[in-house]
Amino acid sequence: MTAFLTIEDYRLDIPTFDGDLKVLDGITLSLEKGETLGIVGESGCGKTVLARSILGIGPARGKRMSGRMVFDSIELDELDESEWRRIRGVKISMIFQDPMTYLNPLFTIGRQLADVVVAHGRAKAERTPSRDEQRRRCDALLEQVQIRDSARVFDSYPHQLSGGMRQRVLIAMALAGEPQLLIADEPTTALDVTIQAQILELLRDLVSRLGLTVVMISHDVGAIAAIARRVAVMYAGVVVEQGRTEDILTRPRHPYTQGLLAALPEIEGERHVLEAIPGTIPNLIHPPSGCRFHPRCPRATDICSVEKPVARSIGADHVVACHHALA
Amino acid sequence: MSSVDLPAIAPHIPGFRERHASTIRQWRLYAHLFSGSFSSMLGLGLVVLFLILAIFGSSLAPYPEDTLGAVKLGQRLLPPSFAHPFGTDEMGADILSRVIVGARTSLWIGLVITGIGALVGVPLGIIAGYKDGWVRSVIMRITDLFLSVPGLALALSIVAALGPGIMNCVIALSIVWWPGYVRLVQAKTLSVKEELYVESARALGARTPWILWHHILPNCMTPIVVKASMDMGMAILSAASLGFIGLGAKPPQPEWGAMISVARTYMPDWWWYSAFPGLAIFLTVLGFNLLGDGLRDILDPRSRGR
Amino acid sequence: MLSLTLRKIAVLIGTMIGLAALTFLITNVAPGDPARLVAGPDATNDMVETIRVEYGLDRPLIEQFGIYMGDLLTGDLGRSIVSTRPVIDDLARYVPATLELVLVAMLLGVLIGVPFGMLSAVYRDKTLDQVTRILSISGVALPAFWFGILLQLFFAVRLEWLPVSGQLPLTSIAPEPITHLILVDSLLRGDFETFREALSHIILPAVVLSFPCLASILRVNRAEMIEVLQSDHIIAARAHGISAARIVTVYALKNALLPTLAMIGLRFGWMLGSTVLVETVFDWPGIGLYAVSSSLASDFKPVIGVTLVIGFLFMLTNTFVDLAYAWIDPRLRSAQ
Repeated sequence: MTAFLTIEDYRLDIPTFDGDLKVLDGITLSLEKGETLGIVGESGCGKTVLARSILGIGPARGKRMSGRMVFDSIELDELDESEWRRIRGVKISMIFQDPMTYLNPLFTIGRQLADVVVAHGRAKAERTPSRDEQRRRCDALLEQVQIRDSARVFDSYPHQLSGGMRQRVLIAMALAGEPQLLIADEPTTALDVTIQAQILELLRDLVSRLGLTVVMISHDVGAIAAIARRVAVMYAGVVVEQGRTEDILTRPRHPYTQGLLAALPEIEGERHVLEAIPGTIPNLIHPPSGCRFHPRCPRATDICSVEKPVARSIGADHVVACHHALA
Repeated sequence: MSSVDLPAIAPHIPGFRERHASTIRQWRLYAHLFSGSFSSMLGLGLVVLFLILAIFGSSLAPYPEDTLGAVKLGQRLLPPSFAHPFGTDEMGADILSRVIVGARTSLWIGLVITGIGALVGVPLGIIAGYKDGWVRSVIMRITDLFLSVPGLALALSIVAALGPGIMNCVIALSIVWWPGYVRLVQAKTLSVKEELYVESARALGARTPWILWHHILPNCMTPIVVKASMDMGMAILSAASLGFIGLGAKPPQPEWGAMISVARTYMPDWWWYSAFPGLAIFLTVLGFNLLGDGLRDILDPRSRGR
Repeated sequence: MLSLTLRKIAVLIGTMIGLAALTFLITNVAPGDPARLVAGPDATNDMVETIRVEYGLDRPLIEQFGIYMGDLLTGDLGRSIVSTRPVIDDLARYVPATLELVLVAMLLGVLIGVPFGMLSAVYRDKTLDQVTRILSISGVALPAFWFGILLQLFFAVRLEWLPVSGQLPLTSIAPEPITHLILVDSLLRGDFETFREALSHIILPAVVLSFPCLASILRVNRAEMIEVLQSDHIIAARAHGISAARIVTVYALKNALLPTLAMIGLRFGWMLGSTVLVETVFDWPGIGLYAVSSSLASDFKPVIGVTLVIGFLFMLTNTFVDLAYAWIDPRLRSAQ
């Protein structure tokens, strides 16, 4: 079976006054149809840049240094703006972190949702739906994300809704074009804990019901575990480890993954002292040589600062990029 | 985001460059951004040129006696030539000389108006921003009242009451100029005062004047400097406007606006008479505007690219 | 929305009273004799004394203030020495011409400034952006009176395309007033010849007046567009497949319009003030020219009258701007 989304050796630099930020350093990922992949890592590790690059809305000044992205045999890096319109929202869609800032404050929910519906109609070369039809589709979409009083929500402005409602609206917008691939960028981070659970439940339900392929990005391992069957761990613009969720969570092989999991507070089971990973995320203008994690790594040896570790398979669907992977 | 790998064992005494690394980087960034912008450098150049003319004007003018109202009826209204690159006026005076010497008049007009505006407006703005209650309402009500009439119109009525003359012009413009600073500084103070470092200084028992001087004022400096730079140009322009109307400087005093006012009666045949003093006003105001714009670009990262 | 409107009107009235007090202050704090100021420079001592009694200038200041405010309330702004008419009548004659000029100039400023600001933001740092940047920065620095003279020299004297000055040729008669705006009235009356004449006369002064205003509207709109185009909801709109044209002209523009509107209000006031220059250059029969000629003749009452009218018009504009803000931004509407 061929991969649905392939990212190969993707490198992205962002020029700044102090030098180029090497934000993504040779990302290689692949995703099969119907699969759910979680990408986990600290803030600033390049998750969001990666996610947006898949939709061609990455940083405006970003420069692709190497690599490619292929979705459903479409070379994403070669699309122009008009071709992108037949992809965005229709084939690949995205939901965002903070539902307040990602909705336009000056337009009603109904207007924004209907516009998305109309835009997708155009992208699929259908005739523009009538007002009534737009309204009907919007209602159906709102119902799909379990908004009951859709009439009220339709005429509301974003500031009149709760955070959870806004996120539901954004999910409805993302699903309006019946996309095949959904990218979820920290969809629960900005929400209250109780709402987080509801939104995760909704997402899980939608994913299984609609058979979506999902890339979910979060620094919250718990949220990732709730949705994703596979996990990729990112550190400083590099995927250090990827594999099945249960393997990664129970038997992490990369020292960084291990540190990340050890830093999680555990609610069930016996409580133990939280372990912090020493040091901070490195400066991406002058990233550490060799393995980018080596200055913080407890297992680092001389080779780590010289040679960049190549990702190697160490078990069924389990890849790690480390010279001294744990057994 | 700097990763400093200091050796942990050997005692390390940081040198000047290291101790001030972030400051040096900041200034390097400023210099880089400023010199990289053509319009900022053009502004700086125009302002420097203007300052040179204002300071050394009387020795640079080819015919210094013409600036004091010498009458040379033999050479009235001559077109631009080698001897008189900007031509001569109705008294036979060299226009270039009068334009050069006019720079000093404009400089002190700009300095006095901007200076008084800032000296009155900044303290009032800080007080209005920092104090709540009636102090703020009184200051802001009065400020808004002054801002409710366009400056030039208000200045005109004040000059009309005081009587024409360059001094009265400066007084009138100073009276209408300070409210802009109150507005600007008050808004900035309001936001700075909520910052954690101010809260913590207050919690540690710092006295209000100390906080105002050490925390509030330094944080208001960026917009003040930018506004002051722009205002130098706008004040010069406003004074020239009043001069043009006939309420400001009176000939033979070499003031650009007043020169154009006289020159207008010699239109259209003697076009150079009004063209060159106007060009001087334009370039001076442009210089200060570009400079202020450039300063804002480098000092206020949020507005970068504006 | 209604309570907001009422509140804004209350503020307007309050500020108007404040402005009246301010003009009173200017009249009385100025060194010299207010009676002489009112009587004019040519008045004899007897006349000054008559004026002093007639205007109650011999009474205590606080009482004078009461009389002054009472007079203003009844529309009595005093009498012009030069025209010998009541100032209020003169103003009624001159205000429409100024309004016409300012409105046309504002229309030019908005119709050119907003679209070009938008284009500059979209094509940021491209040639178009560089050109508009230079134009807009120099626009603010141009002395209006000098720019006016240059345009007169070039378009009126050299090319003879447009008239040098005035609102209509001496030989034409203004149409029977409906709105008192000649451009509008001549159209309403179907008098296209007069309309053409009026249009050709208004072009140069309107361009001069609008240029700095156009420049700052353009700059604000560009800056706001650039900022809005980087905001999260625009990224989301792009991700949802909304076309770039629609994002720029609908979604981003509406957000950028709020600060632009504030600038439009500010510039409207600036234009009203600058009419004293532009009307002088172009001999435009409005309140600016009225104020200038009165002040040169030391005729003080008309100057105060013009200041009050300009202040009132400016405050009215700001009230409209505030209401338009609330109309555009739902967050302000529901904040009540």
